[in-house]
Amino acid sequence: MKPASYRRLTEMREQTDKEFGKLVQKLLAIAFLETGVEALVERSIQGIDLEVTIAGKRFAFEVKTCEGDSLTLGKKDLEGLEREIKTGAEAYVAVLAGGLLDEWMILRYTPGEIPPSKSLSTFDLRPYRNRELERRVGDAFEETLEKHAATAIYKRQKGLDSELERYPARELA
Amino acid sequence: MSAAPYPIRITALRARDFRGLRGEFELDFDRGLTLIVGENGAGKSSILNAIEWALFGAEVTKKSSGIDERADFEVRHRSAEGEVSVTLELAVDGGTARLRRARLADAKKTAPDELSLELPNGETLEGDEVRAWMEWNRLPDWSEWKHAFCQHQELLRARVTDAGERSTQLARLLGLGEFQDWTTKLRGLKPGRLKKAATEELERVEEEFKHAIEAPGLALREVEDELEERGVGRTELNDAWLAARLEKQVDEARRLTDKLALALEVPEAKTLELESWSRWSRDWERLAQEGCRGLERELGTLRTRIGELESTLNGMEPARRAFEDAQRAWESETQEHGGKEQLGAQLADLAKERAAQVEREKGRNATVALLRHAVEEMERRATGSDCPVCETPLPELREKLVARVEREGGDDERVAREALHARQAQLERQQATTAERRSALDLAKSNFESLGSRLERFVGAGSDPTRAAEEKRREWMKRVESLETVLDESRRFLESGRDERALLELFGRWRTAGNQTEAAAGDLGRVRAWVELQTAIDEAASLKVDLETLATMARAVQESRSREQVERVNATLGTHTDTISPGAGLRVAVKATATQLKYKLVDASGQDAASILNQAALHAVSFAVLFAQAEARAAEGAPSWVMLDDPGQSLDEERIHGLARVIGSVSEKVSVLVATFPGALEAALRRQPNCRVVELGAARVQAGVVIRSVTEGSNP
Repeated sequence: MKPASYRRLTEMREQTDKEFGKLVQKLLAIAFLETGVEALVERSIQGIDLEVTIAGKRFAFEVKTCEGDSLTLGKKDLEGLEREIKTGAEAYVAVLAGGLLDEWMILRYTPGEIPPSKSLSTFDLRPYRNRELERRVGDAFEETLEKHAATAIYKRQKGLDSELERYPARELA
Repeated sequence: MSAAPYPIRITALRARDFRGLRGEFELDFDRGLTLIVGENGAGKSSILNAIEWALFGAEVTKKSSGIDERADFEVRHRSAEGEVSVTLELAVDGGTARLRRARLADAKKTAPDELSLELPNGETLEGDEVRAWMEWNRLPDWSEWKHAFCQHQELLRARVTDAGERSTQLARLLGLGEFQDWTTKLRGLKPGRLKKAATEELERVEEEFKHAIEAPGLALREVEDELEERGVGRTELNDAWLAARLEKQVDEARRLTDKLALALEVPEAKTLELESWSRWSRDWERLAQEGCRGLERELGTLRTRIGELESTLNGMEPARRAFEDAQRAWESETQEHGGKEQLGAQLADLAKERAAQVEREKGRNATVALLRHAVEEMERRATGSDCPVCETPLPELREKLVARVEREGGDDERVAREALHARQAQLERQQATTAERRSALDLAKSNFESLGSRLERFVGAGSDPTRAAEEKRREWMKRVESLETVLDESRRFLESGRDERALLELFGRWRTAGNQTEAAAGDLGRVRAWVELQTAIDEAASLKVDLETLATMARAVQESRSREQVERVNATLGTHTDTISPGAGLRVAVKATATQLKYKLVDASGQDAASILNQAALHAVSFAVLFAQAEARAAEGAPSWVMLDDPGQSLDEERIHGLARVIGSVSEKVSVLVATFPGALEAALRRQPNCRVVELGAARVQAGVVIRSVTEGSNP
């Protein structure tokens, strides 16, 4: 991640506190839309965080942010992903850690391999990375962050929702 | 790996110039039990060494072999020239395979051995192919060999006294050695270290990264702080922010360019870069200032003219009223007292009248003087009533003269003169008043007409110059207002524009500092070392996860199988142990921890037994474990043989007999090679069925190992 993106994220984290995760989720949604996905559903409350259709294929994402090098996935999160798998989607956990050198980690979720409600090391999750998806969304996310970080900080979720509404591919949850 | 289709066993040894085996040496192992008997130095160990070297090469001779006494030994006979070799004949599916290891006698220690395998079908494998073949056929590696196939004196007691070793051996005994090895090896690999190493490496790179961007980052933060003081947060700063600001500036400049009528082309905001905009905005500012000065001049002129027009317009009404008042006053005066001509005529008449009156008065005065003289003469002459001239008596002449004097010399004339005088004065005043009124009228008229002319100069001749002037004034006022607005907007924009330019130039500095920071940071995604590091860390993580997963799986399978195996093995172990050392009553117990399974030897009460075993019992248990392992392998169809190097040490005669019985029993299922001194064990083993005894001659270094005799046991 560029130092500028890191600084933007750090400031966002400092200023938005508990909303940070949701804001990052929406920024990721915008980033996906910027890459030209066919359809995208972003949920702020219940259910899977992001559903994205790329080249006719459905991808489900649980979005997580963490400050250190560990995160926890709740049972409900994993159950949600498992439900998506049953409907034919590929399930992923998208993780953004807060370090200067951290990038998006888009981790393929295979039921049973990631235990719920347990502190997971981002190092241990590396084998599940989908580099292609990471490449696809990584640059777009940094550009989105540059564009909309101020909106995220000053207008919060509503501001980013307004941005999301501009994209025809965005579908209502 | 699945089990090999055939339980491979060693059937013969062919050696050339290997250690004590000078020249060509051959030994067949085609019986269940081969007993090699010889005194010290007869070459027993050379035979065992040859088998191990053929199977494991340098693993056996290196310092870390785990058996100190066999480490670093020379593989060649001291007199050897040319090639040193050992060939093991193996009974395999389809016939006999020949595993051959060789090296030149004078080869450097680091030079690799030549390893080959001739298969029954004539195919020959070499090097790694041979090792792969051995692995596929479940031949042991060196570690497994020294622990589970071979009893070395050094390892004999450790098999029982060392808890880890004991657990490993018991696991092998349970047929779970592979799992135990896996978990041990996997644990030994310490997957957590991979994470630690990766984390440390990432931290190191991050530190370097931070160091690289420290200086430009500091400059960047300074600019950001400056921008923040100007009310722009760092998250707002981006190209869109700049584009919006530029667009706003250019739009406003375009609007004012039209209003100020500046001769400068306004570019499209989208085509502008910050630097080109900065240059353009300075040009615009210079021209706009000139434009403003022009507007100010125009405004000044306009205001003066408006002032003049207003002054004229404001004077018109009073002038008109003054003119009308003067007109009325003059007309009233002339109506009342007549005009200038009439008054002149009156004054002329009055002058005539006054002249006549003067003449009259002169005549009267002369008459009065004459009369008075006559009276005076009459009085002086006392003539009475005679005429003083002609002396003719005239009755009452004097009285008549006095009366006439009194009459002529009275006030009438004076009064009349004064009346005329007063009348003249009045007429003269009236004349002055009329003149004054006239003059005032002329002045008012002139003033009024002058103002009218001035109005006409502003608005041209027309029917209603005042109205036209009012319209003109409104028009000018509107223009003034418009100019003031433009000037006001322009001045404000010029002032704010300077601030904005300063801000945007600060943004330019921010971008430059940002670019310098990014340049110092480099595009990590394109830095090969970084990409490689990421890949390496990903692979390390995969390895860690795989290792942990495997360890978990191995442990799970091991745990499951342990339960099944323990009872079966305990029966064998108990039998062997009791045969060697009666009354030991030992059995295997499994202790599961979170990460691994540990096997213990416990007594009948379930208490740890290893710690209380005496030397003989330790040996007994060690052999029992080894034999039970071999039997378990044989039962699975895996390669299985046991090599015992002087196993009778520390055992009394009773236990030696027990041991011989167990060896005899085991050799029915497993090939057993025993090397020992002539003595009790030799004698006891000779009595075992299925035994071939190879007696070695006395030690003679130059001659090498000599087989003195080969005799078959009682039950070939």
